[in-house]
Amino acid sequence: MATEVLVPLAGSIWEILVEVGDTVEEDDELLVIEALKMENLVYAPCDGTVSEIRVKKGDTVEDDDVLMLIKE
Amino acid sequence: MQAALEVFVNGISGVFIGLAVLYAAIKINKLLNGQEVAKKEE
Amino acid sequence: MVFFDNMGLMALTPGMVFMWLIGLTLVYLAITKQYEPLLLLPIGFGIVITNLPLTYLMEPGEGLIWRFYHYGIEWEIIPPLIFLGLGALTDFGSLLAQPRLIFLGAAAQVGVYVTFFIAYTMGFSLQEAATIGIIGGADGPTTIFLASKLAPQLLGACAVAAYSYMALVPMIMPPIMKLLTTDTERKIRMKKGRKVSSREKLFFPLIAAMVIILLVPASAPLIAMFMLGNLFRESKVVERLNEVSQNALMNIVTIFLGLSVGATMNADVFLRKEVIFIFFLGLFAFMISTASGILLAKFMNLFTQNKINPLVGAAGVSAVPMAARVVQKVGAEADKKNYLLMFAMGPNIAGVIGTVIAAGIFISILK
Repeated sequence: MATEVLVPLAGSIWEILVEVGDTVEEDDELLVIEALKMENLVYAPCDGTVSEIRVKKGDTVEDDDVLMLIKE
Repeated sequence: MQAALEVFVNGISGVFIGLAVLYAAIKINKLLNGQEVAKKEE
Repeated sequence: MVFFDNMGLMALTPGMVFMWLIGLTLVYLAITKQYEPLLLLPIGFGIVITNLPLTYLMEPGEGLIWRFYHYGIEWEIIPPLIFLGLGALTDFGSLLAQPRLIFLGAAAQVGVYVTFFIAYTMGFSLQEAATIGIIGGADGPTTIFLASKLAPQLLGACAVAAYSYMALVPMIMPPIMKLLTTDTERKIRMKKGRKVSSREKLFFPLIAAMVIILLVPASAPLIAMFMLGNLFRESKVVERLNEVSQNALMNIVTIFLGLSVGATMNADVFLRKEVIFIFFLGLFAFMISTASGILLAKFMNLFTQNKINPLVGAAGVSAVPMAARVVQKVGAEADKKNYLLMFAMGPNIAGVIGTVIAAGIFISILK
């Protein structure tokens, strides 16, 4: 089952630190969201493999948008 | 000293009253404009 | 030779040289540490220039910088124009989503009034004490606005104190925040607010302007411009006005503001022991404001199911958005998956409004 990684705070995608197929552990850094000129790290909610990334660098994201899917 | 105390009391209560009224205004604004649009968006 | 007699060098005093050091220090901090560079750079330069003798730059009726000061600040034009830009820059969404956090912005004004009271007991006049207290609101343009109305002789010192402490927010606030909260409290994750409709955001500046100005008419110059700027933003039909208010216009008036504030600080006015008190009292005001916001958040938690992370209370200090960023950082130290930034913006913006109301009340009683 895939777990959705949700946007924790609205902003724009500053940098994506993983690629599709990467294996991640819970609390690994996935990407950076810039809000109010501050870079905020988003962490993996669970262990698994990144199966899909739905955003790209520079995208504006709203609260609770889906950023990526992680397959456990 | 009397005058300073008066400013102190008026000031603090004034700020809280001012923002409390603004709080009420936000709530009314939400009732008037918030739900209606939320429904439309659904 | 007349040339030698007219040289500024002949009229130089040690006090002036000391003021150069202060001005150059501000320039240095602005450049190397990037402490509020947009303001401290022109302020620092203004201090140096005004302490060069025989320039008559601040001579009433004829000096160049005096004209900037007189028409810009004494005529109350520049601070309201800055507020116009701030309004255009501000997204009230976080405040509208969680309106109860507005009270944290009110609590942070407690520091203003406590400091006012202490300054008065130390021998400052009521008007001077009010101007010193408002430093605790951490709002530069409001401090300058109030000082120009109540105590112009303190304007330079209070403005520099306010802007310096705003730059030092990341150092002043965290120790107080950690002292007053437990680890468990810092880990509280707050429930996301509801979605705010664009119509609500459009109506807010209109409603807020009317409500606040009806209550505190003396706050009108700042609040009216603040809400007008926000109406530009949210109406979405005057993108040109929105854009120019938050960029070009704000940048232009910032130049005149910084330069003329700096130029008010000549050695005679600035090098007095009162100024040292102003800096201490300003810092004290800042600390009390930070603490009172946190304490109110903890108090509110006694009555509510939906807990507030008390760190957010510290953002009632209106240094936007520095205070909110500090809240995010301190929160993330306790729990790296806790994102408090947007929650902190609510009290942060409420703090701006609260400080303007506080200034308006001071003016209506003391002017």
